[in-house]
Amino acid sequence: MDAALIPDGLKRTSPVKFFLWTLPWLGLLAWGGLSALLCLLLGLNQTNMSNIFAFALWIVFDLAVIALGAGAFFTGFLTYIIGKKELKDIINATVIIGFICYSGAVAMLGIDIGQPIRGWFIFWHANIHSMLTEVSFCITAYLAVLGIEYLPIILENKKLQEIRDFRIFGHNLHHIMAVFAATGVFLSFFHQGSLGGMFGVMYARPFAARWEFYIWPTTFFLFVFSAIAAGPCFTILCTKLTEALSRKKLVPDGTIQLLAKISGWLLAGYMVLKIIDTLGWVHGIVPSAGLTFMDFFREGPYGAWLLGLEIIVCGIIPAIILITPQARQHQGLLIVACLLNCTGIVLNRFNFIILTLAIPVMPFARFWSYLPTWQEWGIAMAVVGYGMILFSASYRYLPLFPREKELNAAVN
Amino acid sequence: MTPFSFEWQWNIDYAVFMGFLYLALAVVACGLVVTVIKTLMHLHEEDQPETEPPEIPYRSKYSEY
Amino acid sequence: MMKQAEGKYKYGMVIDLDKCTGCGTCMVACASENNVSVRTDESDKERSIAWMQLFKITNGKPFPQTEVGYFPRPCMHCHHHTPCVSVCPPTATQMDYHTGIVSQIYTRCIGCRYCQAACPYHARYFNWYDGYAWIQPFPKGLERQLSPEISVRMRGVVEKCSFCHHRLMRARTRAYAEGRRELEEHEYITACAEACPTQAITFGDLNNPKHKVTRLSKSPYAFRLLEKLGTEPKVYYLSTRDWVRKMADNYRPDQLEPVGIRKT
Repeated sequence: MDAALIPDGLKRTSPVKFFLWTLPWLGLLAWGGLSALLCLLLGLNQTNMSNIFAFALWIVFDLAVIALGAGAFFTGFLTYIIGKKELKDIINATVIIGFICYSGAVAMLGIDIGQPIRGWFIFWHANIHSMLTEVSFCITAYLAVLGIEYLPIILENKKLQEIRDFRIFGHNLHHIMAVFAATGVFLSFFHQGSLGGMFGVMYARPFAARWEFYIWPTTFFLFVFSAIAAGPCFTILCTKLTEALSRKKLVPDGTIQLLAKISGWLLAGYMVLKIIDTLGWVHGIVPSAGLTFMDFFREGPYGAWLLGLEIIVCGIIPAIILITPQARQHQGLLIVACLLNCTGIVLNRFNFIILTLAIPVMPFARFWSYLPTWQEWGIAMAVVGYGMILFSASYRYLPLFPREKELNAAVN
Repeated sequence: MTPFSFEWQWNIDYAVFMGFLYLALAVVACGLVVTVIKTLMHLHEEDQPETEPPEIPYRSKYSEY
Repeated sequence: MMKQAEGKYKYGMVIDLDKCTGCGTCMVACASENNVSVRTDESDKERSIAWMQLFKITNGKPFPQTEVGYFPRPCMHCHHHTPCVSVCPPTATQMDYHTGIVSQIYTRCIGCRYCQAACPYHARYFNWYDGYAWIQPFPKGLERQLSPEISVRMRGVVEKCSFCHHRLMRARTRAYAEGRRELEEHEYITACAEACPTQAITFGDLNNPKHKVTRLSKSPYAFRLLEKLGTEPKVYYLSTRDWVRKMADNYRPDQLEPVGIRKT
């Protein structure tokens, strides 16, 4: 039925099966749509957020998804600026993953702010000293860049290629891609960093506050570092999932191994800096606020175990696996390491957002608890559904993986 | 947000922040404009058959020629 | 990065915790003066708006050494690198250089709640509900008690104590009409200070040596909330009780010097 849209020489499942595959994701989108409608019509009381938990599930999701989508700019940097040719086999997929992550995050933010129609005030009345302003500018600009990077991939669709204008436009875009990739790196460095900076500058919240190098807290650099360490692993996971679901080999092992190796060394480096930063904070900022490290965990379910989990289980262990060639080449261990790495980054964002807000600063303030409502989950899950549908459609109708034909020639 | 608008200040903070922002936006805009212009220029040329071998990117190693 | 220029006036407050009985009149006066919205069901305290919030504190000792105190907490109007001001993306909150008052522009606020995250005093409140407008209107008739001097807030914006800034405007207008430029001490005071039955709250210009607040803020029994963080609040507290003073900040075991023991 849609055979005319499927790239030449590639086999895809039947249209009926594909439609059935999209049904659960459309379900998630519908759940999210209903939740968004409720939040926009009735207000944010539809969530369980409160004056204590001003940031909650959505912000955790936003930061996590943006950190995981960092594979897009970093792989672009490695491919177009550094010149790692092997990564050309996976760059299309990373761009689409990045686009999904960033567009999903921006959509979620549109519901998260109390007055979405006023969202443009961040740009027009910008407070340039606020980290969140920096985040907004760079994320919006980078989303535009991702759109521009996605465009030539879309134009490679068989039917669209028949139109000469699109063919030439796509071809010319390809030629100039390094310029967009470089701009993307610049923008991404700043917004990944500023997302960390947002928490580090809160000097009145000792749990989040960090020492500042000029105007940038250490969390600025740590967040960029962790994003580029985890982004490639997320790309690997998405690719492996696509390979498992399509039962085809899509990307050569060399490409995956290169990404895993780079990710592993970055994670190792990040862990060293993270541990140094944590120790410095425990012995510097925490005592100057009159607190000890364990004072943060006097009440509530959150404990020091969360930091231990983030640093040891989801940091040091995957780093060791990924930098060891024998471990990295074992498929099972590679997947586990990538999962732990990505979980670690999500946990890091969770710790900075939820724990910072949960831990009271005034001695007589009480601890409040928080669990998301179904409306909050709806919006978050809608991003997952949206991502699944967009990536599936891209895989089906666009030549995402340049080496797919060659790697499956024996089977075909 | 823009020079000469209501809250704009002529100081180093604004110059650095907005300067970098407009630089990035300008690079993206110029890239798009150049691509569109090149496309419009090439539209009027005839499609050449692929007689020559594909261009070798300058970063490739000699052994790959 | 932020200019810390000193303005002419520095409005501040001193709250004598030894006089505070915890009656809550300050909370009521503030809410009614400032058109603070109230829901039909206010049992969910996490979403209640209380610009002036009363906290109950205790020394934690068992009977008969138990002591109880009350901590009224308005917005601190932090003077140094105000945490909420520095983080607001659309510049909806600013510290006024001239008076030291940290203001909030409701029509500019986009409701991102970053200021709520940054404020350690929980002095900022978000409008989770619609309040006096639209979908979930309040009990009928409540709009009749609104003061015309203050705007009501729409949903999705943050609000906080403004040191009854409208009263400053009222006093200035009156003074100008009478041909004066300077205000007397009693002409501009906040609703909470005016209403307090024990006169525990004193309000005035911390830059003016003749004002009572200036003298009180220099008392050896004066302290501020979370002083160690360096926010430089303009709200001072007085207490001769050490355990009350200890509740105002975090102290490691060896860190508190006693200033005074209450004479019974």
